[in-house]
Amino acid sequence: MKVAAAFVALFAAFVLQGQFSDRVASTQWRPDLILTVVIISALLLRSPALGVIALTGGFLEGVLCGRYYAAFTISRVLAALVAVTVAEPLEVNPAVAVGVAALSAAAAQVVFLLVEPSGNLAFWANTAARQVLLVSVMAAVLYPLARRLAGDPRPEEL
Amino acid sequence: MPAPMSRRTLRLIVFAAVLILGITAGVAQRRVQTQGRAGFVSEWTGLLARPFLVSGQAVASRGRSFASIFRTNSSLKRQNSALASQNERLRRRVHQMTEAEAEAKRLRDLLSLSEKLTAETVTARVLVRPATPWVQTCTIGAGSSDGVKVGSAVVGGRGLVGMVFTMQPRTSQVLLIRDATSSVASLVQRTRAPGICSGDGGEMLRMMYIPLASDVRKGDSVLSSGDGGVFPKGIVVGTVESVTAQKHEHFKTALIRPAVEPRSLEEVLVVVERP
Repeated sequence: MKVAAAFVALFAAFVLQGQFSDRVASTQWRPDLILTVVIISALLLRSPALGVIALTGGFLEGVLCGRYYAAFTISRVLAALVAVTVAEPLEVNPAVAVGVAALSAAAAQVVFLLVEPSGNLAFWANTAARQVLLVSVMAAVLYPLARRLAGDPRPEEL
Repeated sequence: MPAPMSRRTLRLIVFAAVLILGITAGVAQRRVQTQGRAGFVSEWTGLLARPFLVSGQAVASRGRSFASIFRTNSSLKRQNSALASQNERLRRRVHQMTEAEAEAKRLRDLLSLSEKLTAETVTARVLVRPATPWVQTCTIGAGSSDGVKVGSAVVGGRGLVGMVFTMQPRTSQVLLIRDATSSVASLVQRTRAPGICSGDGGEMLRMMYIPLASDVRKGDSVLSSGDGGVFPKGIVVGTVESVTAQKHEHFKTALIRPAVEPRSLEEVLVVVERP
């Protein structure tokens, strides 16, 4: 059920990102909803299906852009892996979720750069920093909501 | 002491008085009638009946008002509901007409551009907008079945948009001129100074390789030069925002604000065949 919900969220993010992401004033602040959904799924799901979700997320980002399929797919899978690995020994609460989201988003940006090197490192660093911040803020808002929708108990009840 | 009046005399006097009074009343009645005034009897009748008539009318009027509250309330409710739905319908219509007007303007712009271009074009809607900060691309609703090819130039109502880099039968992906990997052979309209415009990854373009001796100023329009064979000649690329020239360099570089803002892009023209 949670896996199905994660896929639904992923496709909702795909549609929203394709239609509204460029409405923000600056190119560098375009919200990466798909990456956020992948990271939140990694925090809520500890099942092998997570790999498929991350793979699908990366592929969908490639579809949105029409290029860089490999860079998007690899970076999203590795972001999910980082999120699961870091969160595993921790008791995940919203604050931890934000930290893990920031770390995973940063990993995704670095991997993206390694797979698709950019000639303009200053632009890359600037954009990557904004994206890490944006994913963290979105995770802070969406993680408690997703947790409640998933029917998970609160951290203090764990 | 005079003798008391007999009963007979008294009766006669009363009879005569009544007769005189009757005749007088009859004459007076005839007179007032010929003058168009109300009759004596009717005046008195009216005077006596007036309080009853007034109070009756007041009661009846109150009764009618009271009854009309119920009638009016239900009728007002019906009327209100009908007006509300009519208002909603009109509001939707205004919204549709505003949308249609905006679309018509955009399509008129495209049509006038299409008439200027000496190439065959197809119109396409923008299906997917630029979705990540890393790549400046969008997806349009025309593909190989519409005659679109890899490298086809894409033009908006206000200027150059980009070029097709992949396609499917019904859709194509367009690399916007704002992308860091795109380049457009351009020239400054006023002085014909040549250069290459390329995206800076953000919202602006950089026009590079402008000869040092060229006169380029803020506000100059930059057009596609047609060199390179991808983009048709004379399409607006943008406007010069600033110009920099380093001493040790052989060229000037200008910062260009693109004419087309992808955020407001809904329909585009794809150049499918050039003469």
